[in-house]
Amino acid sequence: MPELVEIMEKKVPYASALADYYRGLTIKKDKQGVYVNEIPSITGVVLGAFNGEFFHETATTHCTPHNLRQNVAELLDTITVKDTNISIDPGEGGYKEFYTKTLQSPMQVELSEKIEILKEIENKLIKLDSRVINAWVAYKEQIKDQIFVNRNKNFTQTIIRVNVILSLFMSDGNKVVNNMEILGKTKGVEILKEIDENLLEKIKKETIEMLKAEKIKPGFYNVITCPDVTGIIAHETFGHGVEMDLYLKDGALAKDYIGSKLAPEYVNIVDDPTLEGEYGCYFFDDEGELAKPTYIIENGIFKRGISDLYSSIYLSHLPRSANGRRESIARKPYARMSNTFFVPGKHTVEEIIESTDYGIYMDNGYFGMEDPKGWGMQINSRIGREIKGGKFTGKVFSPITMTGFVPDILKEISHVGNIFLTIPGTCAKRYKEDVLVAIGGAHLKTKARLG
Amino acid sequence: MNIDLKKKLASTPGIYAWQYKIKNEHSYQLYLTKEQIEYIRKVQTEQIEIVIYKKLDDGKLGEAIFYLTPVEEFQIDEKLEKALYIAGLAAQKPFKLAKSINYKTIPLLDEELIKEPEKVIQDFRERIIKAVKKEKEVELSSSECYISRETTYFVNSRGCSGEIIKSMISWDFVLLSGDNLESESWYEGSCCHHSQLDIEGKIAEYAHYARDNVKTKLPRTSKTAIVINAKTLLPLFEPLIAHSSGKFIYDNISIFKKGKPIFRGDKLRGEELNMAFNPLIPYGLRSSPFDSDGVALDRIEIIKNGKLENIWSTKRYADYLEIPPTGRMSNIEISHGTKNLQELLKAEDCPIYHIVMFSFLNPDLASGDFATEIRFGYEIHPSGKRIPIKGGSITGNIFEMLANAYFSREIEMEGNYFGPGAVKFNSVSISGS
Repeated sequence: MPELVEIMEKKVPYASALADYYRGLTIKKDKQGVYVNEIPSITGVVLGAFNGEFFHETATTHCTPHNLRQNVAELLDTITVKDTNISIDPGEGGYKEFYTKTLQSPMQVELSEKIEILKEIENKLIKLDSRVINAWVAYKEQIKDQIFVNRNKNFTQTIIRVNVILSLFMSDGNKVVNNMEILGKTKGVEILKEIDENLLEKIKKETIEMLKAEKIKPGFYNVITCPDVTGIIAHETFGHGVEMDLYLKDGALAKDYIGSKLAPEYVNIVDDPTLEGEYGCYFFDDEGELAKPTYIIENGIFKRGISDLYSSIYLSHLPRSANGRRESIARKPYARMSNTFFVPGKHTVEEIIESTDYGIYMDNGYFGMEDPKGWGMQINSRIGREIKGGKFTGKVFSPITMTGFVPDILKEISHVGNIFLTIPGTCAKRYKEDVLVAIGGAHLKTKARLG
Repeated sequence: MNIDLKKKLASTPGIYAWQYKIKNEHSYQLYLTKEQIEYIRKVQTEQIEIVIYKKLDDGKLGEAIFYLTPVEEFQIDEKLEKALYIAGLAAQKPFKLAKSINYKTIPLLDEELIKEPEKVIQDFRERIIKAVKKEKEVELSSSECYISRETTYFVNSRGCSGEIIKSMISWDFVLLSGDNLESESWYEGSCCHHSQLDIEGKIAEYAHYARDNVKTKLPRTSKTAIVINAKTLLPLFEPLIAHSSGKFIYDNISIFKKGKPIFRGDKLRGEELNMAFNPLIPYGLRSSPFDSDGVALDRIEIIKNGKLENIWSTKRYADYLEIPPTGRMSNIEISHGTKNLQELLKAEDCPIYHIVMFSFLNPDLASGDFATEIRFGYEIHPSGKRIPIKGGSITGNIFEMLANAYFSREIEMEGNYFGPGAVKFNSVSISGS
């Protein structure tokens, strides 16, 4: 790859190469039996050349030296170098290697052992309650090897991600509900040990609640969000909302608010690919930038966004972050999140609930949608628990959608909890370009429209 | 591929049955930031999906799925050995692979499109810039266009084989409007033939939305009728598709029964739903002579006169349920109704809402419940006055809503959807001002 970069830079001012190699398995246990699939992935090389104005790339799964040299030759033939003053700093680096730390690497644990654990979990799920009509459990291990090369850098990283999904279906004869619990980390098989009786009891209790749940009366409420709902808020608002490739397209309202106070001083939001063990971790991004945290909101003030290389070239007055990520070699990199979260505050969850005269506790968040231009948001949770006089009444609503204008919801934050939790997720940019992330934070209390 | 995979799989001891797919894709991609090029990309990928089956002692079937890319071809023996080990542990209820049959011929490849993809990409850029310039008070924020040629070759151990060569255009754009470019509208779509690429039409439609989006208000909190556009509608049918599937029925999750109504409620107050899968539409987005397991596809009525007519099923679940396999889902056809769009959009006693775009409509497949933010639409008053709206949310259950639904007479084709241009649902909960 260094040789290919050298050939390209004889013509263009900047070139790079990225090789992706994925390995991994999905194991699923359901009513029919056990399914074990390799993970489908695009393994190959992408070669990129900057012509002074924009990027040309060629990507292939045919990675013989001959084919790659031919691809370089064909790529260079199509490029006309533009006479501009724009240059790209290849950065410092040299040769670096990085590996995910695990207690039990997926390669060290026998497949039969993993299958037995899943069989046991599925069996327990099925027997949780007489209303259970179906259940499945799926385990996924992904090992991603990457090599990034430019004229100064030759980086390799091996990232190991493991996740588990528990899915439970219950019916009362009239209605069918499906509840899920998802765990995921850049860790090893040790994550399976986190599935204990407490977790199974939690999923059972919630699913029964969903069966009995009512529809909420649409309106404005005091809202307490559990850490995963809080994480979805961070992700949809100050994750997608501050992706700097959108600044160039006038596609994000956040661009006009840099340096503004948008929330109380106890509110802090961070995107951090270095947060060890979290699902969105990496050591360098897909454009060779070494991972580092980005403090998006500090003490309530919106400080900076997250960038890819292209946006950092044209927004050179703003700092570059390590957030250039691509779905695979088949797609270009965009400014994307890693692990995005609200930093914990000082309140216990009990204090937050006791402070609420009437409100809804949003639990089991599962989905969100961004609106960077309008700074609106849609956050979905499976469960909304009613609070009256500082206590849960036992009444549950399902599903719940929180909507509203982001600055309004932020400025209404009155409490930030002291517990920090994350969940794994797959993040899309509008409707495509999936990348793996983590979201999380602490309990929040705010005011918002629920429906 | 340099190895004779068919021979290799047929001669490997321990493999009881097998199937594989070779998928090649050549793609040309253009990315625009405003009118400027950000990236031009050329992508060539090849991937082979291999599934092997092993007979297990207890009468069960062992299965393993693995993939080969060109760089991994030399690992075939090692991968097969590992797959046989996996199949020995992955015990499933047995079923048979699809049997050999002559597949139908469907036009799927637009030769003109893939002959000179670089030129099509260049034309796309010129056309979209020109179309935006024709519109008042809007600017292009961004756009992407992918032109691809996909070849899929399928073969299995029961003598079933076939090839699909398909062209595809996937494209999107974002438009901005307002004094400070504070409003946007966006579109994404895919099609298989260049004649289906209506750049000018879509730009005109979405420019209108972007301009109207400048002066929106919140909808009112109410229970009223909503009319949903075809482009936005498709996800609402996903719970219906899931509950009519062999998988949901076998897994005991489905609430549908053959010949019984699919709506929830005491009686039908609106029009009956008719839904079919049609894989035979020329250049249809999901058209195909066979599915990913080699099952021959044909048009099939799923819901007829509001009742479950046929269960659709993959080969696996068809065998489990002892019904004929229909293959996987393809294009969705919904029958039109008796009223035209103007009639559906008429408000009588109180304002109704015309929803152009949700933030993300993501109904729960099992319960049919959904709750979603309104990204853009109109409040329509009995006087005929139309006020643009944005924000707030809609909550409902698709099985309940279908008890009181009306389908427009006008038909639209949008991606893999062929059906009414809009559907009206009466009595839906809206959270707003």
